Amino acid sequence: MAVTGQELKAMLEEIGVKPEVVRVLDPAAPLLKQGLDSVDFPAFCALVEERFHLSLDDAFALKLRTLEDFAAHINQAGGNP
Amino acid sequence: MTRAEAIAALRASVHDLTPGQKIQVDVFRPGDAPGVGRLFLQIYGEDYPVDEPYVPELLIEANKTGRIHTLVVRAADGSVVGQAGIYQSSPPNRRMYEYGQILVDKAYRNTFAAFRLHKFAEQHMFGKLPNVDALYGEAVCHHLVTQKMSRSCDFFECGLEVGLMPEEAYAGEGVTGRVSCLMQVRVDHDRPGDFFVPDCWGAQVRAILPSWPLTRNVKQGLSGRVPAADEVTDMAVQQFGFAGVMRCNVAEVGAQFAERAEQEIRESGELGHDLIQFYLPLGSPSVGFAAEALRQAGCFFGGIAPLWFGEAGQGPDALLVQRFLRPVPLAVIKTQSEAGAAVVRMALEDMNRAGREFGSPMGVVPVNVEAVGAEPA
Repeated sequence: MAVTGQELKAMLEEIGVKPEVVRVLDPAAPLLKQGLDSVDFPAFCALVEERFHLSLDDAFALKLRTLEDFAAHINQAGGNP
Repeated sequence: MTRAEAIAALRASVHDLTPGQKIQVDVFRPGDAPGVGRLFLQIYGEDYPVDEPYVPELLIEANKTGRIHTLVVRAADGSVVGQAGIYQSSPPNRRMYEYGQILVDKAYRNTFAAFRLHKFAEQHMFGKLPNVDALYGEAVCHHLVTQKMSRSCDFFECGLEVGLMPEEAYAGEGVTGRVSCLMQVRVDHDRPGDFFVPDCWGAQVRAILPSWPLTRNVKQGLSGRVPAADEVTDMAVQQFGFAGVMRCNVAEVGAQFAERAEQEIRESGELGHDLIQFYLPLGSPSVGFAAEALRQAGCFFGGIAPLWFGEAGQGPDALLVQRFLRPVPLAVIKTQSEAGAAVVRMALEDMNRAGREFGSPMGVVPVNVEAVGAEPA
């Protein structure tokens, strides 16, 4: 089953991003321009790896800028929770 | 091999790492020692104040005996591209280790190397090292990254080391003024004990204590015992020339404490330091006597450090008191949590009080900058 933006938003809260930041987050806009910082971003990548049994190379992960980018990659890679 | 010989060998073998390789975090192996030295040389030059990082056999020995637990990030070709350390440093309690020295090679700054080191430490080291009861970190306050990483794994704020580091230590980071550090502590194995609240900083101590996840036998109003004439002050002095800081660990408070403290303050100023710190034993019924002597000498409140003394001296905990030796500009102070912001407020307010009351030199907080308070998300 394809991962949704809502599921990914819930994961952002799991890594400690404030709910008020997550609530207004635009899935098509860069995460680092919407209140995530240099600690949140790798923490989110690490949780994506763990949750969907994927391996994200650092250089590749930095190209995943939006929640939609993450969802597309997870769905394409066949990541399963 | 001496430090000078080791640094010469490192200089002779300096090379740029191949960027873009796959990286992996691991515990230290003896073969990593030259790579760790290369990193320290790249980032600190020849001035890092201890020898172990530069001298391979010292680093290997320290990791073998458990004085240092080094973590490394290795690239696919075996190069060391990053490192972090859990190590014995200033606390007299040899079971309280410092967590820090997170360094990443310049070719790998655009990776998650620092984050991966921290996650590895959290998952495999924190709370799992047999010779470690507590960890402390000095999280710089000109950005929030370190504070945030520590807070996410059970470190709590307990003090502010105002203007601890010179701006030169953070060249290239756009810092102006001395950098303050938030003291954050994580306790895995507590050692309960007496806790005498010093009258002169009782309000600050009582404000911090409720946030401690620790149990203490708190003794209010009993801390002002005057030491007997034959009781001698036991004070160990450490100098950090590169930082312009003198740190005094007071294991025992004696009758001549005030004179000894005045002498250290005077000598530290003569040596050209900017800052002097005193760690007083909160397990001593004379801690209030010592605290009042330091207050009269123009010192201000810094915080309370759990397990700083442990079983050494009249521990287990310490009161941090500090004093500038000349007026210094301070870098912006940012805090990631409300608890951290409260500690910052207490320290800066008391610094200003010492300036007003005793004419003590102060750190000058940047004008028109929000210096205190949690940064908005």
